[in-house]
Amino acid sequence: MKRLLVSSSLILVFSSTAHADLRSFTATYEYSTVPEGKTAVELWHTQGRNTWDADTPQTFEQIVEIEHGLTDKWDIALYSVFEQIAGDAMTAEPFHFAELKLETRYRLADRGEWPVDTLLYFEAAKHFGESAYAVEGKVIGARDFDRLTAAVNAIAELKFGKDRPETELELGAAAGLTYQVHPKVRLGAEAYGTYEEAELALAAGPAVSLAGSSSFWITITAGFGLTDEADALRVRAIIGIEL
Amino acid sequence: MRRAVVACVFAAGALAACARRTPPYATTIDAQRANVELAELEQGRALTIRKCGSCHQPPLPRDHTSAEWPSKLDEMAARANLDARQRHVIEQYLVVMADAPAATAKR
Repeated sequence: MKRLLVSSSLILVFSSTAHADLRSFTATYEYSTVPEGKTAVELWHTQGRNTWDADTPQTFEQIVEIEHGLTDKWDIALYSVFEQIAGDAMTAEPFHFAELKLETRYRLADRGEWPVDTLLYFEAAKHFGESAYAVEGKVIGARDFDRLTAAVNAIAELKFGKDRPETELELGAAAGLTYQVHPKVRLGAEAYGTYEEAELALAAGPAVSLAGSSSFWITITAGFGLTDEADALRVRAIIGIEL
Repeated sequence: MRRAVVACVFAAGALAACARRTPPYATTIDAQRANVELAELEQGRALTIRKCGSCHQPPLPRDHTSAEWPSKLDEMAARANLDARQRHVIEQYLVVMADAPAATAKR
């Protein structure tokens, strides 16, 4: 263990100090897009549990995202979402392909040009095997304060389709604050929540980002439910690989 | 509740007032010292903000020495997908401004 800590520290200290394109959070989006002409892959791994009870359903989600920079300020991405639920016979679901998402992001100005850097986000999703769709829009505001970065997202999602009992509008928000302790390490916290049919699901927790090399990074967050409607715990790791 | 709102507004104002890391503007003195056109240095600054800023905060010239910048650009040029001309202009700006006297390298 001691050797591992020492070798990890040496790698961080002596490796390149170039800024890495790592995400600081896993729920909150920041002010970045993939550079023009470049492609990146992100692997999202999420595990959660509804409550702290031993027999609570536990959820697993795996996302494979491929994103590509169309211009310096505009990128596009495709998500393949896989899910699994461990629980009793009523709630359990085997590992399966759940949905396909198409996402696009546009930065409205160069970083630092506006008092608050503003990015628009749009996403369309289709559940596999059923007429269930969702469109989601986000307005992402962020600002860098030297080594400190703050980001706030306002979210609106509309769910519709013949296989849904009714059209639903879900509002949400996410916010995060992170500090760059080293060019390859960021420590912070984020909070996120949704509001649907007068029910607020709110969670918050720490966020850690590590850039292993110039083209590889990992971000890990743990979200602890602050209201009954939120999952008691959700842990997510995103691995980013620049191609 | 009212106190919380006031505290949030105050905190937002305090954060907004904090300085940002912004690459310094080049001056005619910098251009003359390096024997380059001021317009090229200005273009280098703009490209640094646009190309580097798509992923992260743009670097400041003084983050590295003028001798270190070329190797840093070797690494970052591919990741930012810079063409030869863009790379040259950005490198020129960072190298020239890394050596700028403190008075001309205002952020």
